[in-house]
Amino acid sequence: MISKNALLLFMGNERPVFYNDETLSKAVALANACAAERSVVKLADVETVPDGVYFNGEFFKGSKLSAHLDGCKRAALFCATLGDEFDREIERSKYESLELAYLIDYAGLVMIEQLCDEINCEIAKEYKGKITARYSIGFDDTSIKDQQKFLDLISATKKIGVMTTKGDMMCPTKSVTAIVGIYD
Amino acid sequence: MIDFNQDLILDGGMGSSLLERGYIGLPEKLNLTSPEVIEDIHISYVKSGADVVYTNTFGANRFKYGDELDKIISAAISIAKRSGARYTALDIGPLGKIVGEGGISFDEAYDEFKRIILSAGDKTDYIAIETMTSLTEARAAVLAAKENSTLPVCVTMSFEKNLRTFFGVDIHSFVLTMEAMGVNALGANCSVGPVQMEEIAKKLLECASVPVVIKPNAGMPSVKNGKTVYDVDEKSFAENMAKIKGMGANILGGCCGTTPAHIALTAERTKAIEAKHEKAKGVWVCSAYKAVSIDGHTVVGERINPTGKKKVQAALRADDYDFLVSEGIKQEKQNAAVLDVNVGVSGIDETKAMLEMIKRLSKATTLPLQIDSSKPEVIEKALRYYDGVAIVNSVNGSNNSLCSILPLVKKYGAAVIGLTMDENGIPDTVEGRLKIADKIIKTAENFGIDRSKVIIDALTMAESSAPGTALVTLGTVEALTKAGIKTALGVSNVSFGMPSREIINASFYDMAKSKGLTLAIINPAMSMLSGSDDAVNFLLAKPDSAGIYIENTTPLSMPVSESKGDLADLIVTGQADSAREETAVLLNSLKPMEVAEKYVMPALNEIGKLYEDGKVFLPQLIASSDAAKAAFEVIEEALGDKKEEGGVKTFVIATVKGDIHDIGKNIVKAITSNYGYKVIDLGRDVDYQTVVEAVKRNYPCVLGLSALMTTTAENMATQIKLVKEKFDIPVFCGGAVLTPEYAEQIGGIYCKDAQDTVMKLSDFFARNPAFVKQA
Repeated sequence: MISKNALLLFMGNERPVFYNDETLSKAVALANACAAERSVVKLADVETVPDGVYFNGEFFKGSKLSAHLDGCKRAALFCATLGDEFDREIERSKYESLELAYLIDYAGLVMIEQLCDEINCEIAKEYKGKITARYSIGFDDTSIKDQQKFLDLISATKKIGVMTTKGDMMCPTKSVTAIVGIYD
Repeated sequence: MIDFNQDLILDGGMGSSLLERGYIGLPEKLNLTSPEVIEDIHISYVKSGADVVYTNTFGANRFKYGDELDKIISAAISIAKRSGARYTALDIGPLGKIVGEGGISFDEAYDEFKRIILSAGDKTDYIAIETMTSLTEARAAVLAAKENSTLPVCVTMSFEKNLRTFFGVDIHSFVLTMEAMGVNALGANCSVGPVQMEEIAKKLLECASVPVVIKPNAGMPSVKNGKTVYDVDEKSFAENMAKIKGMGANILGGCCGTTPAHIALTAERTKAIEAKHEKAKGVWVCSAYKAVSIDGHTVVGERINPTGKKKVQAALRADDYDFLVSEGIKQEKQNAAVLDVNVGVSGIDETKAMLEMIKRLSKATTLPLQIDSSKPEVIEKALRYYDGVAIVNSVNGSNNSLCSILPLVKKYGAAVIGLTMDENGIPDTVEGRLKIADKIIKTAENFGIDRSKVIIDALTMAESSAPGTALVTLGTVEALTKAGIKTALGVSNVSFGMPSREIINASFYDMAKSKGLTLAIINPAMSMLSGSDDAVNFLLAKPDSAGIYIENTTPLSMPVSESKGDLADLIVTGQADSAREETAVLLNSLKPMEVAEKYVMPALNEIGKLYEDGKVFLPQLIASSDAAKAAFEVIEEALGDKKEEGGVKTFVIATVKGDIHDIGKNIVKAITSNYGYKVIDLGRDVDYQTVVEAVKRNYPCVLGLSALMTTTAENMATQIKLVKEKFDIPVFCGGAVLTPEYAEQIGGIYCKDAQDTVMKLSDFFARNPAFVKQA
């Protein structure tokens, strides 16, 4: 769920700006109505090598990811999504008002981040805070082309319906994948 | 041939059985490397009482196995046959790719499924398509099966607790679409355990008229001591399956986590239970998201039709699909139940336009579509690619029309409108029209189409040109209704040539309704037509009815006469409705172009400057753009045909191949359009060649390309190269990952945002007058 205030805060309500309050309220209501938050978390064994990381034996290239997970034996891998209906609502809304579509799109960004934060908190709780910061496929020298491989590794396509396009983007578009290293 | 009306027990999970035996990795590969393991699993299910085993081919497709595919499928069938099962089914799962925008096309998916089916060579007893979540993909698989095999087809989708798939497909739409395509059994598998499956099974049984298959998981998975375990034991599983069989599902099996023990107990526990399934009745049409009954009075929105509508004609010729789709959305809000789609205008590729409209309307609205064309080639493509069950509008009584279109109607399970006219024209008597109706219905039945799916259009003619014609139409509707035949009318023709047409239309509509009219093909915005139900609901004090009544009637009331404030202020502050009203007021005293020059353009300049200065941000810029657009719409209406055709500055824009993000491109479109540029929007994920062709068609022009991702920014480079090989035009580039350096490197001109694009366009056209087309 997202509130009007959370959306305004994200957009910078300290700035001297005006908003169409009615559209803002509508965007928040529609965003809350069409979001179907789902996630999948998988614990994986980690083996770092200089140019990448093996998760459960599956190699992901990225020297900076390797450095990020240095010292971690395990990692929580997850994917979170707001679902396909969220994309359809943005699509529908853009014919009514581009402003409305844009605000729903913004709301989606806030909501998916909130969802990731919640999952991150759960992981932190379970491993007593001994975790790294969140890292995603596509950061630094990891390749966005590995996104579907990552989704397959955690069964995100089967379990929560997240897939990649030919251009390696995730669908539904309001989806995030993340890696959280766990150290002893 | 297998009879799906008998009670059947299917096998259970293959993956869980393999894990139990310590096998990980690609399961289908084991058909070649460890066939004895797969055979052992099949045998364990047969011994548990399974009548059917599914071949170990769920993930067997070319994407995963390349050239090994044929060997894997052939081995899987042999192994399944050796198990001694009464029946074997060729198991086909999803391809693991998005089918549709951003992924592989429907035709590519169809070809992949065709390849699997041809490879299997009808050596099993039936084809089981399962775990589908996309209706497009399920349709591609079923069509491939129907067109390349003689085997019966069973299809199951994976529904979530909200009774929809991940892609939002609802159960009723799934059932209607699959039955329309002639599947022999259907149902649900995977995703949920047997408890949650009860509700899914209930809904499936309510909607289906073919036997229903249910294959739940053994509950939810969790990891214990490093092993995946499911939380529903065989006893609970069998108890729930017994309940589901008692509800009417006669084909039962298990999916993820189920074992021979689950199947054995289910077979035993359900044996004595009779599956009584009362078949669903009635005629329905549907989109992927919504089903609509057409057994009662149904409003079909007529607005997407170029006949007599210059704006629609112009939009179709300019590929301005946004305008056409927004007409669809408006009609959905005005209570249309079905949308008629007619794109027949001279000088365009009707098939291409129809498919584009179907694609866009299917995303932007939930309403089922009525394919309005008389051309078999357009209808064939439309029905093939439409995710749902459509109405075909129309056939007529001529043999040529009936024999070319009715087979398509039958193949895709559509409903069809039959016009009471033939080679000799339109009869001017009730008897004459009934005779043609009778011929259409009988011919449809000969093609295997039930008469309940044939809707006869009694034809509305202009009363002003042939007095008495309305009575013939009404008489035909009345006689057909009495005979139990569905009827249709395009209502508004009746008032042609008369003043205050709405009054005549509304009266004629009421008269037709009183005679039993089924499908009214009308403009649902007309208050006198669609407002009446709202008024009744209001008087019956139904929830929210006052708001709905006001919403549906207010836009049709007289323009507000008092000023709402300065139009420029209204635009700057993004108040679209007020801007629209104020423009109408100003037009009482000013010429249309004066309103544009005195108020709208200065407002756009002001908001642009505020944005540049960082005083307002994107949401306000867009809101202002929406308000300016509303004002321009009123101005254009007032200009009518007297539009001053100055120089035309054309800007062709697209989101590049592979990229499905388009909000940035849409903002650029909205803002540059308001500044007077003729914007040709090609959409998103646009093929390279489509862009080149659009540039050719609109030359001289400026091209704008948008890309959000690093990977698709590379496609931008390919696109620019292809365009520049043929045309010396500037290419403006924008998107989150772009930098001025990268843009320059790939031969483009970097635009920071929409406002920057406006400034760069203005600068370019000022310096290159040859690019301005003179009217």
